[in-house]
Amino acid sequence: MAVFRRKPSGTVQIMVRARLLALGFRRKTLTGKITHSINENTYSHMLFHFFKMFSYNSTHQFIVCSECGSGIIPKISSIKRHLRGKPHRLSGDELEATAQLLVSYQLRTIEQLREYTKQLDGPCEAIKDLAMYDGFYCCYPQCRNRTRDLHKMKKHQPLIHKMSASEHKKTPLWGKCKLQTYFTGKGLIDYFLVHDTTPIPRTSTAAASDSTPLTQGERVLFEKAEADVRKVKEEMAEEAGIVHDFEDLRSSIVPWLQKLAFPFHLKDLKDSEIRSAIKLPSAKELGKDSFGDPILARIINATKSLLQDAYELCSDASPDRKMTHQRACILNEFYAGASGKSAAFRYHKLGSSLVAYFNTWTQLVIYYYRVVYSDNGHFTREQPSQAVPKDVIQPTSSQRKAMDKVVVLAREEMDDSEDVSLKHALRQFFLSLICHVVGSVPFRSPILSFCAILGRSFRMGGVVQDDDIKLTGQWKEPGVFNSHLSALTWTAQLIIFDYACFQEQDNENQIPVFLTTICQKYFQQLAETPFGHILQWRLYLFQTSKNLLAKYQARWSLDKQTVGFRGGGVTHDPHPTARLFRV
Amino acid sequence: MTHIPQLVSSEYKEAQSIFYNDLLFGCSHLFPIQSWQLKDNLDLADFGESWLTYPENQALLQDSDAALLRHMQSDSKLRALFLTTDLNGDMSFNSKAIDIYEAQVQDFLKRMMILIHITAGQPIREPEILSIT
Repeated sequence: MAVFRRKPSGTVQIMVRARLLALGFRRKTLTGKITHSINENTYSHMLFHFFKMFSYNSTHQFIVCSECGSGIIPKISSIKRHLRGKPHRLSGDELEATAQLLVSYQLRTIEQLREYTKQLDGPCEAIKDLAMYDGFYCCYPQCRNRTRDLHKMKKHQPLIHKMSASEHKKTPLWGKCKLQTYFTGKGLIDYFLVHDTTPIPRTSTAAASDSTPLTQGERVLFEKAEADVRKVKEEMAEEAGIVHDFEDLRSSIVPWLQKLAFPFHLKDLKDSEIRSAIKLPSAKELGKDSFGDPILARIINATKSLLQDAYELCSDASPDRKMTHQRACILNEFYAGASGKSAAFRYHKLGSSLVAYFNTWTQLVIYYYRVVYSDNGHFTREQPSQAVPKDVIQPTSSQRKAMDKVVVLAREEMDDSEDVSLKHALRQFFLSLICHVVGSVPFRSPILSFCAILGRSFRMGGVVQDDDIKLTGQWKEPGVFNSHLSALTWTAQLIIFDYACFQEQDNENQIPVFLTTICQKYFQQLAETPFGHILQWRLYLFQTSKNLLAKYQARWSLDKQTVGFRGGGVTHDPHPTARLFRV
Repeated sequence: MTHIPQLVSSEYKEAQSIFYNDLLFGCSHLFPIQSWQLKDNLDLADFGESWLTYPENQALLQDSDAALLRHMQSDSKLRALFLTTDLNGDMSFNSKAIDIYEAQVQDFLKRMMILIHITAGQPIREPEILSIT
């Protein structure tokens, strides 16, 4: 769009000129200080800026810049700063004269405006040209909290009114509204309620020029067409929360994902369900009696406790230490022909890694419980023919038996302190997951199906639908995903070692023999087992992430003034210091 | 080499003419989109994401998706051109008029492709440019 238009109509120009003269500006000079002449061009630019870009609101007594959708701070320095910047780009006489003209209006100061909005009782009429936002207001009497962020409103309730945000479902604690703020600068935002007026259609001026009314049939058709537009938008939003495979789109293929076949395994599943399938309840939730599934809670607690016990067997500081360098070497001999050449299993982990690794394994147990063990299989089918993970995963009879036993024990045991038998049942279940020959159908294994689930990352969308936040998912970067595989591999090694120690507790000398047998059969790259596949995937992904181009690239904007990077940017400034800003 | 600026200039004029006169039905009063105010993030990889769905552009693009429909409602000539009465006597969109409009869209895209191909840095290879269409 042309920001500066040439020569506006004469009558308006005369009005501006008259107004300038009334303000004491001379045709040739500006009140003594500036002696440059204001030429015709300056007048026309000022005219444009004044009548097209700014509107004075006499009720609120402030000026709105319609181009930026925000108010102008009523100080000469702030006005000038605004006029110098984009999109006005004024300078010299033009800047001076426009600023003087703007400041000549009767304007409220920031403090006065703040006081004015405080006195407003209920929503006022929306200010023309000022940006309007969807937001929320607190229903508590006398509370003036207004925000555009639902999370902030949810936090506000317990913090200020000592009311849990969940109470909102019973009695509304906040309501949706339209908000405006005079200024958008940092520290100056002060939202006030405005009436929810439907925006005037941008083509409204055309209606005046053509007065032929719509017939009934035409009206019906247009209403249908507008409903279609809305429906398409809603469908697009829904589609964004579903996993798509590559189909025939050559440009959308991501080679590593195609090789690992994750998109095909999770095709058409909803991201919200994928997230909830492996959602780990917080310690607080687990501790509550109201936690929906006490059996799952007991299984989760026992899994964490079992893994912690297993780590004790390796820890240098533990009196029960069973790990030796030789055993560590056997555990790590997972590549073909590795005898004696591999580095030992690095059992020491920092506390934070340990928590992350154990959480990943616990998520695997939750995934099995929700998706494989439960009858409904967690995922909903959009079409009857759609294959969900429960259809693909084929647990072995030993896995099924072990899980049944775990659930029976978890149901029986009410005392969490001594759950040795539950832990042993879990130990057997874990080993049955590891010792599983899958052949050429990797996703028969619950572990490998879980790996595909781990490949998704989720982002909370900003769109609020019925107070729910839209969730969109995308595939993780190969390097990031590989860290999950490391977590699974390490924990599986720990579990094998734990099982060996438990199995051979009467004759400790048999531990290396047991380890060798299991590792050679199920835990090396040439085995067609879950970890055989995982080890191959890791090799492939190490190579892939090495060759990957940087995902995020800096790009110059079209006007070559700004370098953009991940939604932010650095703008070129004629002054020596570059200015960083958030776009 | 002087032919290249000429080519760019003529393609630009042609694309502009198609866009404003044919695709926007020559309605000069439509609120123009201010490209310098639009934000984009090419690293957004979510399904269906583009500058149209970028949250910071929402205020600028508000109601723009059905602007042409509304314009059509207010212009009897356009209605006569695009609407027709089917066999049941109901109003419907004229498929031939829509086909012609779609052909104009394709023509516009072709010209834009040439402009982007020539002016936006080093010209890209055929498989690269045609794989995204």
